Amino acid sequence: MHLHRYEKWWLTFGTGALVVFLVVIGIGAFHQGDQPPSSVKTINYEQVDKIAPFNEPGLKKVAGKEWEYELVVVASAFYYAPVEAEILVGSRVKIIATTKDVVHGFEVAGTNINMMLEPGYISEYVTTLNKTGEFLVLCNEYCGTGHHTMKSMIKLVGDE
Amino acid sequence: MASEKRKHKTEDEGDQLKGTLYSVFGLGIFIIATWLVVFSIFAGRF
Amino acid sequence: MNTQSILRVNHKDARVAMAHMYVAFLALAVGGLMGLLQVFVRSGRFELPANIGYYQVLTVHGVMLGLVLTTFFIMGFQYAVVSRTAGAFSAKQRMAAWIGFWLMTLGTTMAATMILLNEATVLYTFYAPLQAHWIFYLGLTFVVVGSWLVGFAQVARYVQWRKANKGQTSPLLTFMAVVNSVMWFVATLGVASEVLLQLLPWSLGLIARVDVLITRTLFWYFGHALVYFWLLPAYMAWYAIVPKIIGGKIFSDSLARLSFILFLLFSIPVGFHHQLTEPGISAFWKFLQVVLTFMVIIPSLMTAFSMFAMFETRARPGAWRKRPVRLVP
Repeated sequence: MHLHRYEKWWLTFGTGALVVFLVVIGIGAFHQGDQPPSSVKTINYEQVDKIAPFNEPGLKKVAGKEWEYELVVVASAFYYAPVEAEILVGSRVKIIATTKDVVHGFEVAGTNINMMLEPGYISEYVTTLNKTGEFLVLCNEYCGTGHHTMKSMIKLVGDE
Repeated sequence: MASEKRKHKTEDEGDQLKGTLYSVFGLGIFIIATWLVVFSIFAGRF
Repeated sequence: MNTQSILRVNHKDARVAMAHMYVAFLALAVGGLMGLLQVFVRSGRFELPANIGYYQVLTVHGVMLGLVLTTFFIMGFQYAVVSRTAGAFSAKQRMAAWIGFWLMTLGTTMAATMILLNEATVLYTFYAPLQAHWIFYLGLTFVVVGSWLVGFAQVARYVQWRKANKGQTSPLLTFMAVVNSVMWFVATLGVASEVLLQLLPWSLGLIARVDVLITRTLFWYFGHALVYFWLLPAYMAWYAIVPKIIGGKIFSDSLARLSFILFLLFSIPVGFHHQLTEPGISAFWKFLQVVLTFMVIIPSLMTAFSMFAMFETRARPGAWRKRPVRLVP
């Protein structure tokens, strides 16, 4: 097939840019560990309240792990447990979340924390919370008539 | 395919598509600029 | 010069195409109005009568614009371009298209009724385990099956053309319409199996629960190719119709065909990029499908070049003198 030489330049440049984008994202994902939530862990969603750690939602200090705190979140129409969490700024935290009923979202506005909570699956995300302030947690997956009222708050506080 | 005649024709066409070349590269630079902005937002957040 | 001689679409085929257009634009009017109502409701100063809720209106908006307007418009448009460029449909092919049209219309009515009765306030993505009335799912199935019939008619007309014109290059618009129809068949297999094997039996109470991850994966296997199904008719107009209107010529017929084939191939394995925040898919597979998603950009890069080149070639002084603008062909 005949290609005009300017078109060859353009397709080489365009495809090259795509390759560069993908290499940057790939290095971020597989070398730096910037991956989307992909725990691939399952749970019986009808028994969430009885299964650890979801039987006790909230913030827990842990020892001997790569992270200092675990924030356990249980979502159900139309609220999160816990409703609020206060965490020391700079902490390395693993967020562990699931849902008891339908699909919910768990997005911490203004951050890269954005997980879908799916019945039957556990969503996990590890990060260092390194900015002080109040961060609104929102449900960003339609979950029923009260969807837009579903929220909670993460407060990152300094040393006192 | 690469006959002498066609080659010649291609070079003549080249000058006729300068605007196209500038336009697509303008588009390409816009795509790269927006990608860089979005990526820097991503990289700056936790 | 009357309209018929400009359009040169067989008048029986034109009736099929226009029937699709009437439903499509009715859906646009209803869906658009619902969009306006959403803003009013969200403003907090307006309340809908009869306890109609925001999400109910949002579901009508999504189903009407995302599924009904698009499918009817595209099928009608493609039916018209195939008739115009490959010749009139046979009586059998036209009958298949009419049956398809009425099946789609029946399905739309069923789904719309259930949404209005607040039995299907699940948005147009209908993610399980939000559950709609089974009539809603069956209605959507009819829309898809009906569109298959209209698509089959187009493919049959293309095959007939090929048999009658052995060894010749097929008309560009017919070729493009057939590629888009084939993409539609491949894509809708996902949503059809989601609805028929999972959601429909589940909403009828025949099975107790569905695997949410599988339903969503099947949905997005369809849902992303759906976007290309919307896009390609615009590309058909850009590649084949715009040059006619401006009195120019297509930059490259074979490149246009190649870009459509690439769309068909690359549109298949990209749905996971709608599931990047889901817990049940490993990071490796997510990355792989992001790479494949980027591949679909290549035919669009080709299209961008072709469009600029087509306009520039037309606008150069030489071309201008040879072919002065005539808005009516």
